Amino acid sequence: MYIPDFNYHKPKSLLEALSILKECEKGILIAGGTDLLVEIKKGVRKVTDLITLSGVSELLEIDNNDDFIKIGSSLTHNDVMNSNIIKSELPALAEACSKVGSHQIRNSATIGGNICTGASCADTAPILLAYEASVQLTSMDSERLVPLKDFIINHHVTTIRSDEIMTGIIINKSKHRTVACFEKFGLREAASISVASSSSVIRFDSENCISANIVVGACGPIPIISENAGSFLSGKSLKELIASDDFLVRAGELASNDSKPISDIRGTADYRRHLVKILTVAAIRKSLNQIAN
Amino acid sequence: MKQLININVNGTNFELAVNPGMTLLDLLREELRLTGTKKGCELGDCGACTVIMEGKAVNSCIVLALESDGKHVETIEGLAVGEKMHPIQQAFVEKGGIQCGYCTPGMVMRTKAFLDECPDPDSEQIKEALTGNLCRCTGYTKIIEAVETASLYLKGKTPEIIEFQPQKSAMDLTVVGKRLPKLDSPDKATGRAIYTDDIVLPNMLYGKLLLSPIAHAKIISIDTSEAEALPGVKAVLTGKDVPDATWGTSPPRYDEYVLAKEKVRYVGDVVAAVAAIDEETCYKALKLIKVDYEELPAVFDPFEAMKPGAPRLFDHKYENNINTHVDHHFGNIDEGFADADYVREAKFTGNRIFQNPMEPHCAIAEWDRHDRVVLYTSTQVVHYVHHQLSRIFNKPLGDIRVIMTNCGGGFGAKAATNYLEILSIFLAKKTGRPVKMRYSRKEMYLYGRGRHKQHITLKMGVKKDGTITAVHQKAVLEGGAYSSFGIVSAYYAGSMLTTLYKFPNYRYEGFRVNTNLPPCGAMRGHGTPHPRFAFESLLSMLADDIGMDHISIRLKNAMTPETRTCNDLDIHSCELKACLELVRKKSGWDGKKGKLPLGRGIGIGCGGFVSGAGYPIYRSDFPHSNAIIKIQEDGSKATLFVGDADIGQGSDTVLAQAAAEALGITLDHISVISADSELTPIGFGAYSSRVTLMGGNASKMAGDSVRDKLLPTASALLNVPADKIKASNNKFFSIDNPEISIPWADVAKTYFSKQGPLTGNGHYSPPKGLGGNYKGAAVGTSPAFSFSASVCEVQVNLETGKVKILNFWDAHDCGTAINPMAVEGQVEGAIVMGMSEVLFEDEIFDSNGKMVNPDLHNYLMATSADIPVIDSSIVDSYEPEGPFGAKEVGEGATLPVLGAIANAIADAIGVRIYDLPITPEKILNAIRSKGQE
Repeated sequence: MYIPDFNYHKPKSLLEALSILKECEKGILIAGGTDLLVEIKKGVRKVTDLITLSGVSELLEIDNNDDFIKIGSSLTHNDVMNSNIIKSELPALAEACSKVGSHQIRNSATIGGNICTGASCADTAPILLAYEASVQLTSMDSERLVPLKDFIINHHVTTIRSDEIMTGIIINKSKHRTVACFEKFGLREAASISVASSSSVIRFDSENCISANIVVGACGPIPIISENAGSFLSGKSLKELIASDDFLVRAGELASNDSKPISDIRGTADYRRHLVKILTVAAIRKSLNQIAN
Repeated sequence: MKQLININVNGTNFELAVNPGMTLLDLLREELRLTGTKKGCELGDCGACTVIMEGKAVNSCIVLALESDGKHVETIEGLAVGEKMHPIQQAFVEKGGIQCGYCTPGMVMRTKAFLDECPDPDSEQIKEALTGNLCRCTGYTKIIEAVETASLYLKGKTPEIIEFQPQKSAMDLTVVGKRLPKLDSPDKATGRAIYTDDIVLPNMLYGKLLLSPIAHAKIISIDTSEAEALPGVKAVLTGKDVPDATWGTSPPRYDEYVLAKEKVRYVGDVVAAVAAIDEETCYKALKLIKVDYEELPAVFDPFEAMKPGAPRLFDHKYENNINTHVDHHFGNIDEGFADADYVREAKFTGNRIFQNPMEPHCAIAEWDRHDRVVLYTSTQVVHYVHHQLSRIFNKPLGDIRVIMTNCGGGFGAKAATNYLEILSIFLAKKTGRPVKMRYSRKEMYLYGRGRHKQHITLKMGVKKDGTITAVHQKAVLEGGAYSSFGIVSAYYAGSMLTTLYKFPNYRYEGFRVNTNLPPCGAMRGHGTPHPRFAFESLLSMLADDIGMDHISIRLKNAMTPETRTCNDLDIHSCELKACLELVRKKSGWDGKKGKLPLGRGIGIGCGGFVSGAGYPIYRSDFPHSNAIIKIQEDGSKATLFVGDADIGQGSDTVLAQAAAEALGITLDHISVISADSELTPIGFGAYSSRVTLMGGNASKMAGDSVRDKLLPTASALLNVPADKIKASNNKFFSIDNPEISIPWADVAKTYFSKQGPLTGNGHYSPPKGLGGNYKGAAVGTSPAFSFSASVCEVQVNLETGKVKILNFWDAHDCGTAINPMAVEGQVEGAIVMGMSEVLFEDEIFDSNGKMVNPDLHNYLMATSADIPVIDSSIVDSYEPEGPFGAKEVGEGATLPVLGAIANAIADAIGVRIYDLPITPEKILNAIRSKGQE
């Protein structure tokens, strides 16, 4: 196993990184490298020019504003899950980060990398979709904000342009009471790839659910936003949701129906659909419990 | 183009020019020669390469060296201060947290970073923290204890000292029976221990193998010209360059060529070998070798393979692809089943498991100018490698030297000669330079030799009182492309069913079938875990059918000492009943069985194994284990030279304990040189769980011999008759008046001064004539058999089908435990490995015979977070044939595990899973189909 030689670029600022990226047509960005280097070693990916983001300190901050939180794309999963801001404002994201790989992987792998790699089993993408996150894409010439749901379009395919760097992930704060949960099923207790996951972000006004985002992970080429489960839950009162499991089970079924799993070595499509139901019910229930508590 | 970096490693600054593609791991190992950091998977899955960079634990195999520019890196070499180990290292040594040692540096570095952040962890936090570091030996239990102890040391506290009750048979012994840290553990804890891949010889080349991408094909032609023309390539070999002789493991089934001739039989079959200045050049050269294949139909399922007209792997042998057929009938099963009040039959299916030692196979060959070859290798069996090389190269043993380095685990994967060992020598011969060859993790899977997947039909009859009247087992073993150990596996699958319970009537029909998949071989418990899983499952099912308790039915039929089984195996010591009673009590069985809520379950399984095969793999009259002890001229130290191999199980220490006890010295006065064909007398090595008994007997005999030689000298010095003198604790003393004593070293020094070198020899051969007279009767024979019982408690999530193994209570009859801490280490390791086999592991192939999950990312093994709480007990027992009463533990400990878990899951969900692995999905489907009944 080896990594063939490549041209190595180590910009010291975002501006320099963008300029190299613009000039270097075949330039590939590397952050933590935990996916990219494995792909190169396995021989499934060829790289001639690698531009590392490790020297770009602008991408390592978490901005906690009144209206939104911006997470720097080069923060590792451990950085994110250990951040007090994230733990208090976006606890389900912290939870999802804690379920990615092993401790060593989480020390290297970045949240931006997890999103940009666009793997169907990525764990941060579904919960960020449920939080209605957007990604900030910056090039020499422009900066744009793209809703995450428009960013990941297929397994390992995103809408990032070759001259762009994902500089941040932005999650707007809601004025409404928000509860969220990330539930994952892996075959072993730790360091396992999701067989399925379910993320829920539910918002309430004083009495009623005003929006519910249920996002299913690892059950399709990209994380799937279950429109049916979301619209089913919207409008339900907190009281009725807490009073009866029937609504939760129905939401789980709808999420399950919306998922598009395949069969692979980790599980059959049927089993995944079943898991989606169970995980969705659990995610919603745990979300509701946050209010009850 | 190389780029300059500045890196601080363990406090020292280095300015280095590195290639962009170099990883931090290779920078440390190859450039700085800090080889303590290990290469296990190269893809960030195993954690063996963990180092601390800027205070954070990272997998150095997936960090570019360039990315360490300007950074501080700490490696295992930086922890100890001079001779003084870091408290974490100290704790790992003392607590028995180190076996093969290959995961140890990564584990220690992860622990360091973890305790820096979290100085006061509980055991759950520790389990969670270590999930990125896979260990195949220890079952994590002692590692977790070590981390707990380390955290106390780091806070300046002293851990509580626990007194252990010795076994009755070890009461009067001073070294044997003691929980002593392994002799090699400080070396392994500090990263000093040298494994084969850590060695770099001057002018050394690297070698790599071209593996077949097709499952079954004729080789029409091979063009190596482009590969040979590539700068840096020094040799390319194909089938035409190697002898026509076949090789293998079992002489009746030598069916592998050194390099494929005419045909390839599986994806991974070895087609060509390349030597070049580095591995990268080798890989580039492999891509330039043009092989023209004519694809042939392939067969992957053993039942399909046996059908008339199925593709044949070998045209002139193994009709219907049946590589081995066994038909044994003892007593009369028809009468036995007629006598039964109740008969039940069921089908069980095992899984294809790979041993996955953390260290990949590696060999270095050096063909010297005197036409002699030296091979460094990570092997379990120096002698069998030696023997096979002697055959292949047509040279006497004396012209070949095989040196086993430290070995990072084997479990059977390294129990036979492999392609690296042979081809590194061919390449060294061709180039005149040393050649190193190592497998990547994927190449390990493709070399194979893992556990055979068995398809078992088992029928058993019992009386109303639970007495077993007859057993009929049919087993089809999916063998893969070549024989390897397979003939023996097929016999073991049948022969070992008889040692735990008494039954007079038994028939075994076994078929080992060739398929176009990687060859299967010997893995921990060789051939017997799947039949044992089937047997323990069916026995519990029958108990339910006749309304009998699962432990009671086992007690009813349990083997007793000094019994000859129906297939002529001689059982001597046997404390199976004591094991059963102990786990019944410790697990609280009577209060739990049948009383747990749905989803919670408890199950029992029993096991046992040979303490070394009664006969060698090829016909030979050499004693199976041999030892020489040499005493330093001043008497300060004994050196034990023994041919058997310490592959992490701790045999060097155990053999040294046996020798030291016999000599009358303490363990700090003995060192061990093992497994070097030049220096050590022949030993058959580490397989069939043989070393403690056989190597132990040889070592004890050598110790006895030295001590007896010294008695006359001691007698003269003490002025006490020789038959009234005893040696122990580094003294010779009068038995009648222990005050009259003299230091052991003084006696030895006096002897040496007057009579010259002081040495002693020991050897061991199993008793002659073991076993019956039928064909295949040799397989299963042993001087002694171990016994064990395990109770397992599980929680099954009824919604997802996921199993959490909560507890294991194991009791083992290993005779006298020479080192109880090492015995526990074997049991804990076997339980976690067995659990991992039952719940997670399976080799999966696509429709073209290509393995889908040849890495540690997709082939899942248990992590520290998956393990149960393990209570491991050793019952009082004494084996007359063993050294100080000892017998095996290593392989036998695996055997109760599969059945115990299967029974516990069945108890939890009220329905049984018959095929391994028992995945959440299978459980859920079983629960659903039961609901529909």
